[in-house]
Amino acid sequence: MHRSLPLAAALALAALLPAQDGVTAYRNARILPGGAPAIANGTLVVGGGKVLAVGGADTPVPDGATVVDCAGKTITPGLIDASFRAGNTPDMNENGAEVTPHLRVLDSLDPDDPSFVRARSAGVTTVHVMPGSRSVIGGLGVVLKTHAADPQAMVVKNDASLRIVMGSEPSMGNRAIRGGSVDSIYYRRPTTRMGVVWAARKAFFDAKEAMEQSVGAPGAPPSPGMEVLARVLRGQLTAVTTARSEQDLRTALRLATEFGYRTVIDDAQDAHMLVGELKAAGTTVMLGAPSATAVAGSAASDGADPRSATVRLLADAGVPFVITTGSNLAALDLVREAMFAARNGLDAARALDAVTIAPAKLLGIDQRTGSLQKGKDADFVIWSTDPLDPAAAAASVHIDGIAVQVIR
Amino acid sequence: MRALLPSTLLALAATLPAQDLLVRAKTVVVAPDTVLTDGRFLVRDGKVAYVGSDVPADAAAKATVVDCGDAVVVPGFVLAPTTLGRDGDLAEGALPFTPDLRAAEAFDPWQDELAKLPRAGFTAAVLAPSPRNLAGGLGALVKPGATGGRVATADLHLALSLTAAARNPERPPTSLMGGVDLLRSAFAQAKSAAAAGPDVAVLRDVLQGGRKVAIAADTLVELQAALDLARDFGFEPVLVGARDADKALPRLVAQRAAVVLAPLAPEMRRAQLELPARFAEAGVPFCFSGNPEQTRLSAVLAVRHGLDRQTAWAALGRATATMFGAAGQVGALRQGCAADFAVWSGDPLDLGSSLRAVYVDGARVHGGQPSAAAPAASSSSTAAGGR
Amino acid sequence: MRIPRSPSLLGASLCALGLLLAAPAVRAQEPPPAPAPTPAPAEQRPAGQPAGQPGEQPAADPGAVDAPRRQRRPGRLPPGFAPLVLEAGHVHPVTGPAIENGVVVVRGERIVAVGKKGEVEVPQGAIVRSFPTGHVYPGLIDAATDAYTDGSLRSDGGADGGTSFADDLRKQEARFHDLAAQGITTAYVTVRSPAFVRGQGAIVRPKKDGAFEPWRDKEATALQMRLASGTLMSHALERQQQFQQADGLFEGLDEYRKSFTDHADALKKYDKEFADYLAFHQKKKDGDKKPEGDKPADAGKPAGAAAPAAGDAPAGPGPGPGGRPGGRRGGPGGQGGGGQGGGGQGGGGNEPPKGNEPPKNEPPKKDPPKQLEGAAAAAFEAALATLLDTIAQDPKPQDPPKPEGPKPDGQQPAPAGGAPAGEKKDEGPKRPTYPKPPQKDPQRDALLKVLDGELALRVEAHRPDELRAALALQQRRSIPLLVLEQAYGAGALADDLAKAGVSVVVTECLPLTLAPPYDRFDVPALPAKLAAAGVPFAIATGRASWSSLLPLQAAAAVAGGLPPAEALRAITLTPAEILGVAKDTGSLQPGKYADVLVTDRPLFQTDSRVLLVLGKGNAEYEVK
Repeated sequence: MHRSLPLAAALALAALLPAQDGVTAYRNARILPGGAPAIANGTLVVGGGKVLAVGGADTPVPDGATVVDCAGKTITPGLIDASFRAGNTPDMNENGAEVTPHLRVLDSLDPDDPSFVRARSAGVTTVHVMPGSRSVIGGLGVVLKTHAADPQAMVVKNDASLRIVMGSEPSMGNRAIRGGSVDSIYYRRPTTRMGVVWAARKAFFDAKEAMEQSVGAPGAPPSPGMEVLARVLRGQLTAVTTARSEQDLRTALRLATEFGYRTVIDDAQDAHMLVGELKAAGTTVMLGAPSATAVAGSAASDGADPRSATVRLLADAGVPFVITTGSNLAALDLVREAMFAARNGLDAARALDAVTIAPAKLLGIDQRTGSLQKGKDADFVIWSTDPLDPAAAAASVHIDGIAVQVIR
Repeated sequence: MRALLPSTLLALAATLPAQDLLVRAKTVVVAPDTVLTDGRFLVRDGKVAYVGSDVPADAAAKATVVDCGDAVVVPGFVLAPTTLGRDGDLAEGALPFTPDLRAAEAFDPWQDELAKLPRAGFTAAVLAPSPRNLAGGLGALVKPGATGGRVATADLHLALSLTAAARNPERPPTSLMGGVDLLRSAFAQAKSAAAAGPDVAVLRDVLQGGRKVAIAADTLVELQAALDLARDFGFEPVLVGARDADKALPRLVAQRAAVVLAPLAPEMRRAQLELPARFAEAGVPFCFSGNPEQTRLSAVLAVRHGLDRQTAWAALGRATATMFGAAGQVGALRQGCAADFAVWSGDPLDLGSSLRAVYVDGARVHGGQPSAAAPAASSSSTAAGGR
Repeated sequence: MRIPRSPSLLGASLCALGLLLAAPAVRAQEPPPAPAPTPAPAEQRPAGQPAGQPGEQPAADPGAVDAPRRQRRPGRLPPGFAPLVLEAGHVHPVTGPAIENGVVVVRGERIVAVGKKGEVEVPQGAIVRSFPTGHVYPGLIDAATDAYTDGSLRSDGGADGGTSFADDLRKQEARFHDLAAQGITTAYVTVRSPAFVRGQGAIVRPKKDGAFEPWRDKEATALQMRLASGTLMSHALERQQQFQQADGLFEGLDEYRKSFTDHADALKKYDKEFADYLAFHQKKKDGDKKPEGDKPADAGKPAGAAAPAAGDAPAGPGPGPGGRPGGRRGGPGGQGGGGQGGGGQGGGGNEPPKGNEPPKNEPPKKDPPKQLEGAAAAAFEAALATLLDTIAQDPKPQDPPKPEGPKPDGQQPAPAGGAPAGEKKDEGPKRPTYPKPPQKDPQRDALLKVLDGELALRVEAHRPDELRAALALQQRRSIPLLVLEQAYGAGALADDLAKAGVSVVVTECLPLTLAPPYDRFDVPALPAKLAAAGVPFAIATGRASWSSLLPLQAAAAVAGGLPPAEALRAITLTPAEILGVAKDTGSLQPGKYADVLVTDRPLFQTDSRVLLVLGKGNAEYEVK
């Protein structure tokens, strides 16, 4: 027979015990599995850190399973933040050079960083962290779970992306070399927005050249940075270009076209101005903090002008997009950003998909997470009510079946 | 090495005992795991020639006897990596990566900090480049002496650093990921046969297992980066500082890492004070950094918080010498080791014990003649109220 | 070493006396004030019944500081009060050589016997705790710690000599404040702050789990002062200024004291005149009616208040609780104040039971006198004044009992008797005006107590020049009890210190180099120098975070040349003497509190562990 426990007690128990050992069935919940229709009176069975079954009330529950009654609650997949700010800013930005494609943000990431705790308590179970935005080509991003017993097990996907930054931010702090003595590394290019583009273009140009040369002379190994750029050029690595104002967006698209690589646009706050171009380029947009009225970084001086209707415009035009918190300091919790999108005309199901299955696909981790499907990681959130309700709170958050956050 | 000869000769000429010394004491700690009762050892040419029953009778008869009475003779303590107050001389500011610089070149035989060592029972120090550089250079084993200090071994260990101090905003790398990458690519380069140069030669020594590596790292991220580097390039690291070492304990054990802990202070959290005992239990070798008084007090505090005395003794000398590749010379009174020892009225891990004399290379550098001091001192220690 | 005795101590003992008279209170026998080391096993009674604490013991002596507030009935003793016998391989009584295979017998909160196993009779039914290889010491005494305080005390700019730290102590959660677990059973609490006069330190008894109780009547033990410039460079002029500032504090104290004695005299005079005045009017009003109340009230009074008056008359000036001028007028001025002068809270707290009871028992006739005496408040004073006004105006009112109020309070029989004489005069005496009480100044009260030797003066002075300034102050103002703190440089003038009769509390006694200007002072070597010169000194932690290191600090002093027995004394008996509690703790001697520390190894060994700590016979810490 099944042991039936009240939710709070069961969750408390789950928090204490490694849940992989036993099978747990969450019943009578409204389940929004992500990328599939909602199940009104659903059952979610998890065990061994994986989802064993998702279905209606008639879903068979294995013998011996702990049954948790989730009446009145809503279960969603763990949220995925495809552009997440974490860690100690100085360590995320290598100021020694403007192009450092081979640096790994993972090397600077503290697994105990408080931002992870905050994210998972708000229902975010997977995040994509990129190097800081003070370099033109900052380096390699990483996809992490927000919790794991062993810090190294947090990594879902290493070298998940290459960050390129447009706009004035990478040039900030640099000073022009105008005679006199050079006594600091900050006397260098780029000092302007066009200098930023120049640096990016030069890097890709060098990489292309190195690729062609290495074909002829296999003896000389390309430098590590060039190798990373070559992978982007070959389509083996996704470039994520942070571009906030309209002109930066255009530049980002132009660069990608010029060198023939695929890019995702991050923090695209002015996306509403060139919906058509984005659609034509087939580019996915990471919309950073759609609720924020203030723009991230130095984008205000670049002329960025965010609009709350951007999400709906992109959706209507059929531009693929995901919702993130991005590098905006004014960002709300991810679930609130989805709520904001829904309140500005986005279909509720699509709003939820934009923080679950869509980012999973974008990051190439959808075989593991992003939706509640048999065989995927048991990353899910039990919400007190519909997650897009302003009063919703994560009653418990589970990563690989382990309750990492229980609110009683 | 040639540059060092004159000072060495000078030291020898002034201190070399004309005769063998036979040191006798109630307790002789040869090494933390070897303690002789009513022990003795013979010192010849500044080195320990014979220990215990190995001392030949004829040699013993001819030797000058240093009778330490009921005192405890322990190997001189070894101070863990330090700049001996000469931080400025030991950090090359212009470049972040200077593995081939030698700390021995910055050694001043007359520096005050060195002269203070014997007052706390220390007979050697690991002079190390400052952790302000990603690769600071090569350490050196230095010793105090009655006529100035000397460099005992010039090219000891390679000092690397991933701490915040090594991330200078005025020169690359300014970030941890940049620093990690720099070290990683340098080792990768040293692996390839094509590269050459003095810096590559040093790294190659490490890769071939001929040189110890100490990596300064405090936070968990830094420790993980250091351990990753060690794992990827196949060496057993010594982690210096290691504030978050408790969080990385399983990896430290798995990778046979050793740790130089920051000195303990009475007002620390209990978990910090008990960390040495936990390390001992897990089998992670460790020693303490800090000035001589701090180092001894750290060992005392660790014993106060559950560390066994044998490991604490090791942390004051044997473990330090082993970690930095000087185990054959200092930290023990085994045959062939330097005759560096201290005469204490009791166990140096009890604060009630006082230091009576210190010998470096068989010559007394601190304290009085133990034989003369012995009777008076012994009476006071028996009156120790049942101690 | 002079033990500062406050008059409130006497009040407390009277309270104890009262209790003892009321019922046979349970008391361990107490030695006379200076306990002779009596290793008398004969004194042991068989104590067959575990409840053997009847009133057979000698009644409390006047020094009984800590009389039990609630009575314990024989036969209903909690298990903790069965006799407890500690057997151990080594017993270190401090007052004598170590005893191999010794026993310590504890009954209630006191030690009743210490001696060699077999030579001391073990009471029947006693709980025996055996530590065959253990070491038994008296509970340690930390003569300076900042435990139970928090940062607010350190930064309190408003603190002055009138502030009492005892008012601001609380249980702190951090492990540092668990002094009992380190074997410390008595501690003097002070705070380090740059303030010039910091307030009065308190003696507390650390208890289980970081709790503590104040040592009754020792809430104020010493006045803290600072004559130091810290690590900053300083100048001879600065020293001069500091000295003058300190010296200036003692300026005008005589006048201050005189204003109170004058006031007391004025009150006496007022009482007399007022009685005359009353008697006159009363006689005039109803000359035929006998003032019956007089006699019984007088009879009842002496039992309560006259006795302390006799014993305590000299302690004039600092009549404690400033807020009750009315009380003074009823009571015979000077003496009434003396009874409470010892600190207000302590004395005052003990008074009521005694004060209320005798009148209740003996003269059940009149209510007003009782009320008057018990709660003579300003309000009452005002009411009385209006009442008297009405009396003065029309001689009708029938309020004889009230006016009699003041009489029972003191030696009023004479005035009462004199009243008829006044009545004879046709022209009545003029109504006297109530003398205005002088302004109270808590800091001056404290300084007067310092001059009287009731409070020690604790001066923080680091370098030799600062220490000399402290000695000069002592000389100039004839300060009886001077204790020097943080006296790193005291070694240089140890002989002068010995001559001046001051004590030293040594802190920072670890082989660690002090911050630069002080790095030339070798603190671990200081105790040996002081001992050689004959200066009494205690070794203390100075800060709660070092409390686990108290024995190690004493050990470090041994390395500095101090004989181990003296090092042990420096963390037990000597601090008890400096704090004035040596009568009750500091050594393992019959009659003292059962403050006991048991360790598995000699105390000065680094890895010695605390096995058991008894505070007044209660287990305050026990290793699991």
